[in-house]
Amino acid sequence: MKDSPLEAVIGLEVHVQLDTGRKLFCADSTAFGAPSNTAVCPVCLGLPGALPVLDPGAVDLALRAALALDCTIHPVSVFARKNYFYPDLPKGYQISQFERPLATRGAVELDGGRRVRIRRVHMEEDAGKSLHDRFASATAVDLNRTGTPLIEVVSEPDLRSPREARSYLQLLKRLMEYLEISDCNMEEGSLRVDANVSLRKRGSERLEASTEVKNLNSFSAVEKALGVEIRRQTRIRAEGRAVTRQTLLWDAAGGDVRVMRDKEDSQDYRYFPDPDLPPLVLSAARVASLRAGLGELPRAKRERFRRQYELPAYDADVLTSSRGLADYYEAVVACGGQPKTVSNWVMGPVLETVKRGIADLSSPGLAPGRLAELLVLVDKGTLSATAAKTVLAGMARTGDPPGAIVQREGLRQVREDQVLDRWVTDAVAAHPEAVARYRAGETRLFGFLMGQVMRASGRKADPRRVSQLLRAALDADAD
Amino acid sequence: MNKSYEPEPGVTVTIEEIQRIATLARVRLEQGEAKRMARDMSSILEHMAVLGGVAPEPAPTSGVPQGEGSARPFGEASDEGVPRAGEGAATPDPLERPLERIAPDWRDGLFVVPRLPSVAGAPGERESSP
Amino acid sequence: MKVNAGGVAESAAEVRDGSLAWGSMAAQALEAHGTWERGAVPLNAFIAVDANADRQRGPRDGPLAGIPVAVKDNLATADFPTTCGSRILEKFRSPYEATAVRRLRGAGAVIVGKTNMDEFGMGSSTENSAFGPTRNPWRAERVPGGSSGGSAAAVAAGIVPVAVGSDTGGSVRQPASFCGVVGIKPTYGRVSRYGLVAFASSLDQVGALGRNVRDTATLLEVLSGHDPRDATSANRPVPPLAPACERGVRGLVVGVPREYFPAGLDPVVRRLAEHALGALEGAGAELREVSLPHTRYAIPAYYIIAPAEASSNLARYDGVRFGHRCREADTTERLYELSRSEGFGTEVKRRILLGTYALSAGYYDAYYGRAQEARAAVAGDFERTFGDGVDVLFTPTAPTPAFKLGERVHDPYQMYLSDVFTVTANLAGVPAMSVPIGLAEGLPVGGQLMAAHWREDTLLTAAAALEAELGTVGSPPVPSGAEAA
Repeated sequence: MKDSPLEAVIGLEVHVQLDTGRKLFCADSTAFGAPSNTAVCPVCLGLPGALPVLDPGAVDLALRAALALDCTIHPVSVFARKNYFYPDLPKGYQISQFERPLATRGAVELDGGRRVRIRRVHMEEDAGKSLHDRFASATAVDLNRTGTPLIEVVSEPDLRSPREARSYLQLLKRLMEYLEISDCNMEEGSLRVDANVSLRKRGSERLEASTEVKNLNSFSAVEKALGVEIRRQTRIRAEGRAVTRQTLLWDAAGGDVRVMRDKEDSQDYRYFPDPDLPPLVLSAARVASLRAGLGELPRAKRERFRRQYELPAYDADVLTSSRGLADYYEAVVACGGQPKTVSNWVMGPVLETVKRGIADLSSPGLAPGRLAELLVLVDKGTLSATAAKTVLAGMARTGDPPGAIVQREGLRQVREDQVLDRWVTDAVAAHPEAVARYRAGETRLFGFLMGQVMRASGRKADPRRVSQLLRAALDADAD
Repeated sequence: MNKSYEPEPGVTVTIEEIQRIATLARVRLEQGEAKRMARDMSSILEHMAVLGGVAPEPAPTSGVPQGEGSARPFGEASDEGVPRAGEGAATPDPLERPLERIAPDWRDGLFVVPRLPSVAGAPGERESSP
Repeated sequence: MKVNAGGVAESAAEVRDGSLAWGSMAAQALEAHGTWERGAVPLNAFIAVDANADRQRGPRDGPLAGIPVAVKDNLATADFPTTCGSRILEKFRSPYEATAVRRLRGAGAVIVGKTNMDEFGMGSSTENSAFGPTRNPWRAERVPGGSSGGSAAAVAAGIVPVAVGSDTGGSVRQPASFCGVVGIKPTYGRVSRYGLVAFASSLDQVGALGRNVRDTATLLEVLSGHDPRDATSANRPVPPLAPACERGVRGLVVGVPREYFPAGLDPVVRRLAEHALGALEGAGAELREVSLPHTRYAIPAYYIIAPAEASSNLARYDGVRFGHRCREADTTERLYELSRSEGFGTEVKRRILLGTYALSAGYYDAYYGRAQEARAAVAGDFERTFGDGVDVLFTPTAPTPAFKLGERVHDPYQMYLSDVFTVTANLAGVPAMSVPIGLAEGLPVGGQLMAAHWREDTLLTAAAALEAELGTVGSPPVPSGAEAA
């Protein structure tokens, strides 16, 4: 694409499931994996006479998302009915926002500084699931997912490459996770992506006929499918043909797109305001208080971490991936931890412990003060890194303070020269052949001898000092 | 909504148009029925032409008439300890009759319909995704 | 003993203090129902009846303790079918109950049966029922009005003292007028619509019918109140309605809108309406001629908005999850088309097509958009009038007394004009009621009262005064053999 006279014009429509735990217009659970057709009630089944009532919790999350995307929030938005027939759409219409969405005209900035405008953020309900492989020549319908709260985030066609589309999605996912709006689990469908793609002459402002690519259920699928579709359109243009407006389906197994339907016979959805739902009226005070509640957004926080704690970009990125982790890191530093040491330990052993389910960041054993105490011992050289990991595991398991564990398990690092000297002398004496070869120039045997000393010390010896003493011993006797 | 027609006297709905609408509404009409419907609709729509004469007043923003709740900010506590505006019921309304008793075809906890013609393979693929 | 002779409030009090047996009134209701069904032309007011209604149990301390009540068949009930008068729901039993029904049961009412209606409420004569037409108890060759024709007929026939209906464009008031009973459509949002099978959601409202104003008020009070399961239900207190029936109309300003007394109005209807106005004036009300200039847009606006909403509301009857399914269909598309074509009647199909047309691309602005503007203009008329000091409006309920069966079924628009005086209140969301004002050649005629939002009390005050001044229209003759019952 780089040298091509054409450039890609990409816009993404992203559906994000709101983490409210319940459905948008009734109180059924949205937990993943319930037995089919059990998380249902008269409302989401579309039984005669049942009525939708909007969940205020979903409105709060949708507003947070829209505010974080720097959108204009509309004081009045309207739910509309999108009418079409499908077996997993119980009412024969989907409740969505159409002419008057919750929010419009936002923007985000990608890492390279590119700005991507957000056209709109609106709320809608999900449909159920049609299962085509369950019974022979029949389609089965599970309505558990029906009514799950979603927001749709529609970007302007501001993305210029599959890579850029991917970084936009990563940024969006990060933001939604950080603000606890969604778990963004793509396998479970809590983040779904459709892409609109067209090509135009580089520098032109004209919008050409675009295709919509659906069924993109991973970040790499998005990147790959966009690449395939851009090459397909490039080929069509090179042959002097025109790209037609179509809806395409990404086939991950075949690595190709195929036509699902022509846009020209696009359906007539007969949108109209849903008479069961009053307009969503938001007071300025409520929007302001939600805005204040957002606090520092990930991007700003990451910049501050780099500056204030002098961390590499990678560290700042990981540490600000969730609000809980960022807060934890800052608390440990505030308790006296050295910023880079704390970063290494939090990203490494601490997150490992959490991932294994041994403890979480709020467990007493991992309290910021305790971790800071442990890391001070490491920085002072009282504990070896290896020993400190053992102590950390003990802290997580038992909740005891590090000092007590060091004491109990005798993990204190040995640094006294007279003790270390004996171990070094013993090792040199026990391996005359290795010593001779080392002295003859096989310097790599130093590591072997070093290992012998450490083993003799039960791994408690201070490796830095041992290395000095051993080198001195080997060099001295050579004379 | 691209083109806009004025309701006007003498408007006639053709049989083809009736059939297009019937397809959208998933109602099958026999030829004779379609003819009668076209005639009835034309005559009814003729009476609707008067709507063209309404002096434009601001139409309501939603379909809900000005009742309670429509003007109050959503989700905010109001006076007198009444629930938050728009606050729904906290629990789902339980089903007093199992779904298999109302479903025309129910197998293994699933509603069943004849296989959709347009389905080509990908799991979860739908003609119209929300 | 006269069937259910006492007022509803008094009878319930007797059940509460034990002087009247719990099931006795329900037993009388069943007996009366049997009598009307055994007549030369069966009344056919009910789609389903609980033959053991007198043995139903309920709380004895409620305001409707032991009172037999008939419920329109578009309110979801778990122990009766809920057919909406449609083939498509012929065998459907709702897995849940409407809030209005739960309130009835909570008040101690005995639900004796589900009443006949025009399919999904679409009609003004109860002829559009898949289960045959209901007859007018006053004269069997006449319609009872619609769509709550079964509920109005059951009250007029003396089977039940009160019945629940629903009103989308006059479906409680017009049959009340045709059958000589009282019927009220409260303010939109006053009664929960949860479990009321939707016809046109922005217009539908559950209503009450009764032999007299007091009984109707008693039922309405039970039905009213906020429901967290209906986002359009009003979160405001319900005032006690019985005192309103005693207040008297002295000083009340009664508006007489000239658009409701057109030149072509049936002369008998005009005479009875003018007589009723005279009675109100005699009781101390002040009459004032007013104009509601946008009234002529009401029928066209109504017959765009209601079908548009209906076309969407009725999409759920697709044969997938419940209701009629065509067994021959081999694809889902055919399943939809065949199930719906077999299940829906002609008028329902006509309105689904009309509504689909009005919402479809290219026509939306011209029809649905314009209709919404007209609706706002009609509502504006009411707001101005009530803002100018008018307390209540008085009009005829329907342009004619009950017409004959079959007379209008072939001309849809003529049928639609039966609602010309009633649709305005639904478009504006204001409360309205019909009260008998006399007989025209043996057929009842009703007068309509309309008030500002939430002022059901004013309606009841005026209605009670009319009832006191004019007396009741009496009851239709019971079919032969009934005397022995």
